[in-house]
Amino acid sequence: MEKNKYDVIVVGSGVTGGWAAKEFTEKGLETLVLERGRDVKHIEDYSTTNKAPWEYKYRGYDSLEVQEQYPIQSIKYNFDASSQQYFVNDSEHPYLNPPDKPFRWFRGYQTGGRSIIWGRGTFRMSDLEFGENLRDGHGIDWPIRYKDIEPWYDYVENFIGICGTKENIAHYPDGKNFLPAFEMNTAEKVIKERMEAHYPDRKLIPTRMAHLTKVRPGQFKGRFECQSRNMCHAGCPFGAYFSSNSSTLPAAYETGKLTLRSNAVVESIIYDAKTNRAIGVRVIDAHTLETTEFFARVVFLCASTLASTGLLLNSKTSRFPNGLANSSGVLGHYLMGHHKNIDGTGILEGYEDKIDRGHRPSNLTIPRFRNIEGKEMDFFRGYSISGSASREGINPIQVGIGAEFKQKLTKPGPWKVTLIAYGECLPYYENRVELDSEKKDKWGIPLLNISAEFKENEMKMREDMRAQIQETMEVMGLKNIETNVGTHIVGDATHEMGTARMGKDPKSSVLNAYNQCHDIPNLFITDGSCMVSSSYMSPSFTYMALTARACEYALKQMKKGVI
Amino acid sequence: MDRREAVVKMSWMLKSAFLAPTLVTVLQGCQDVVSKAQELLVLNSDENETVIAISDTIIPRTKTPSASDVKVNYFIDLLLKDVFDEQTRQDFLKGLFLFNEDCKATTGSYFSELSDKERVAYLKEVDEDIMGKEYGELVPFYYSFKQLTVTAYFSTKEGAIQNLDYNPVPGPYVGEVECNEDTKIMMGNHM
Repeated sequence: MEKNKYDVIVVGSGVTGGWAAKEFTEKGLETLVLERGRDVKHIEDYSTTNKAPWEYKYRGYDSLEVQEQYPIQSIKYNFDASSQQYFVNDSEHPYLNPPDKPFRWFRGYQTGGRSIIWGRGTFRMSDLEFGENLRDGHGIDWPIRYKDIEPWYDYVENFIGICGTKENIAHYPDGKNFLPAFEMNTAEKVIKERMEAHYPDRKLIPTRMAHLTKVRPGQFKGRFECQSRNMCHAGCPFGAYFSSNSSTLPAAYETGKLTLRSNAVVESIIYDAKTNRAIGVRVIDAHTLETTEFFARVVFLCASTLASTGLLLNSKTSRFPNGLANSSGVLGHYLMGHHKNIDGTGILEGYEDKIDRGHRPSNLTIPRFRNIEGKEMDFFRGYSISGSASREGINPIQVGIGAEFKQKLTKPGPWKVTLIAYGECLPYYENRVELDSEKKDKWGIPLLNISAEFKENEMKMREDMRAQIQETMEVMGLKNIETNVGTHIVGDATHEMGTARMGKDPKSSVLNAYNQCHDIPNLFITDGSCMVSSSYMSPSFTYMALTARACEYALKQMKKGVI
Repeated sequence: MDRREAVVKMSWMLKSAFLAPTLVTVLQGCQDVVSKAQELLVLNSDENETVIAISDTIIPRTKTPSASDVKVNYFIDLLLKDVFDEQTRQDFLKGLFLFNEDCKATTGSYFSELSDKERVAYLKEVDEDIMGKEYGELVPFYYSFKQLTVTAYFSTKEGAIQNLDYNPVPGPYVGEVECNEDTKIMMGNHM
């Protein structure tokens, strides 16, 4: 093989890059995966996975130094001393935003990207979501429907392993091969029954997640059943949850066709105007700053929404003065996120003769119930509510001192129920990312300037989210109900989406129905930037399915000699 | 509430609700006293003695270790240096000082000078008064101190293993098992 020449270049090794690597290498293509961060090998590099709290100097606290260096990342629910190594150091990886529009960009620069620290919720979008832009006129129509992606959801599901229950909810498609759901505990069964008896249109079900709850011999090679440690964010030595590191990359390595290059910061895409092809990429070594060029027949961008979009914006040519593959002018626009930080807590009295066993890494979901049959609310779209119940743990906020109090602290408290809402964001042209005209990072690449906010529709939805959490908790018969409405900052829910959207019309979209650039046929983008609407759920499963689908399409086109 | 807000709230709690503005200058004088004890980073030996006395009254030695047996005071001292911001550190030290002044005004002695029995009697009253109330963003020093002590205690190896059901690898999750008066909180490695 010619030096620096491959069949396919994949930029990024997270959920989508891992899938592209697996699909192409398994079909015999020499594949180069470029990862800007360090290498993290499954199991052997999970250095904190078996550490106890007392093995960290500050235990559950962040030192002032960490607070200063990780001001954004340390906000994340699963950031702590055990997972810090899988989050970027904010001070080394800055980005910009207008002062009145804060943006939170959570990132992991290492092999596997954010797949090591993801939330693991695994949901199928339905035609309610795929058809909604067309129905209510916000954004452009998705170029695909559920039937187009369904076989790919099935395909991905069989490989990654998803636990859940069949529910037969029309707008919430079931998996075909669900592994058993994590069990519901006593209190959860009680609140489920009460809630479902009251609301015929709502269900409280185990959240569908990419966890192995049951492994048949030979299934999920090298991965094992969840041992309920709830230490996913430190990397799982059992490989019990899906990550690129535990699943797709090992499969790709096994073919002998994968080259993974770490510390490879992709600066720009090399474009050949004569053939109208992306012929390769320019890479800066993160440490030596040395520049190298790599070439391939096909380039897949899987670097995450903002990074892939930034890369295109930074690859200007005379034909594409506003960013590569941006003849439409929409590249960088329609940035979406999910809005959250609305929650409630309450106590379910009684049932204290029962408890659960293990640290379950999952929770429950109430799938969307608003605007299903048409617009019935004063806002468009919808949201889900997730939650769980558990016996309250150590509670110092109570009266008592001395031996008796000390003893009391070790006893499980009452059943505490938590509900959290998670909502859809409409696509807005003015929510966008662009390259800053002056400031650059230490590799000489312009910083991203991100400007996004939630608007009236999301605000109206948030009112309903809070009210419904309150009402649901009352229906569940809870006591001491408290609801909280927190901040609404784009990016807070991690799922940045939509800045290189798919569409039928090349004038209003960057990608076609197969994640292929309208403008440049051998350039594909399969991360969240392709999203046309945000839906209200974790999008990772959809990205994976779209990636596998795009790979098959690209392979066919390569075979035909089209690309 | 996100993770950072929770941490910030923790520091807000340290803003003493019974902080009298007139005492601020006195307190600033106090802070200039540099600890001579090599192992202490922020607390001076008097402050350390007070921290030990209060935390051991909240969590005394029983069949299992006391707060100071597992060096809760040193951990609090470390947090004051490396984790809490300057304002919180000041609030804590002011709170500790005022706690002692209140104790002296009530009992005639500083807290660490009281006998074990007197400590229990005095702290019981303070505890019932403070922990029996609802608060907004600002809470009294003792409220925060107690929370800090308990959290620190159970995050130590001996505090956790000897008191709780420490089980970092429980095996497949079981949703419903029987629970009785001997059942202890199960703790893993999640912080």
